[in-house]
Amino acid sequence: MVDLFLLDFGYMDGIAQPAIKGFTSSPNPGQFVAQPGIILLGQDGDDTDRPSWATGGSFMVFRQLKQLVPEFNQFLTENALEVDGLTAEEGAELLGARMVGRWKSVSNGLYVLHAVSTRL
Amino acid sequence: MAKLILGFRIGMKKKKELFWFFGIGNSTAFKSHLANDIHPLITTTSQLLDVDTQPVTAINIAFSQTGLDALNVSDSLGDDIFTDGQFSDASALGDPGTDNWEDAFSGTSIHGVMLLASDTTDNVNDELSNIKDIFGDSVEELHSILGEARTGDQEGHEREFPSFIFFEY
Repeated sequence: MVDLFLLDFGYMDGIAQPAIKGFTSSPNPGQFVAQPGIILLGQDGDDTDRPSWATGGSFMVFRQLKQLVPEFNQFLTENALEVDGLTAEEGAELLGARMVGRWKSVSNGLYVLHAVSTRL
Repeated sequence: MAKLILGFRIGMKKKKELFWFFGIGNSTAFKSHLANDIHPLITTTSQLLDVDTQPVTAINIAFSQTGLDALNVSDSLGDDIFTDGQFSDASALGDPGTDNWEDAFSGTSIHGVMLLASDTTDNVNDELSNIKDIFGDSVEELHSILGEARTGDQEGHEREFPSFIFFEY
């Protein structure tokens, strides 16, 4: 069973993260497996000189952002891609899919995944 | 609806997480509190990876470059972006200036942040009270934000790390 956790924008959440070698016991099919040193200082894959006391630590980035959902959808509508065989609405969905890296899970109550993807 | 987007971190997979940003006023007193009373509270990765040892409220701490400066830590962490700080990097991040930045984040006055994570807001608030009591006047609160985790967990991913966790408040 898969729970769909959607961001307010309507795209599935939590599926873009990599697995970490040595920590993630069962990577998902197709999931990128990264060296721990990509996020942990002083671990395999971290080639930068660090102070010894920083080993096992990590850098934290904090961003506080507003999600403007109607504005985003408006942007997609106004800049819909014009592709032969696609309606204006589908062209907007396609733009969103290219920006986010996946199709919306739910779009205006309609599942457009299959219809659009089979045409492309 | 505002959201927080948190980059890589050790997977404290709890529903409620508080980010408590502070400035260090008295470095000597702060160091003493940190070493004697805060250090023992910090949750380790080993503790998190086993459900039997997970604390009721997980606690972590992080420092900015100016925070390390305030503590007279002169070692280089080897990362210029960290040293220069996010405020100076705003345009590289695509921000249209910094007018819409949270006031507390504008500049480099934030010295550090404490992360408190638990299943309930009460737990988180209780622990925050404890921490504020410990630090006393040695720090000043600059920004505080409580988020509720929304994670796309699937079976078997419960206690994996790292994760991009999206919180909403």
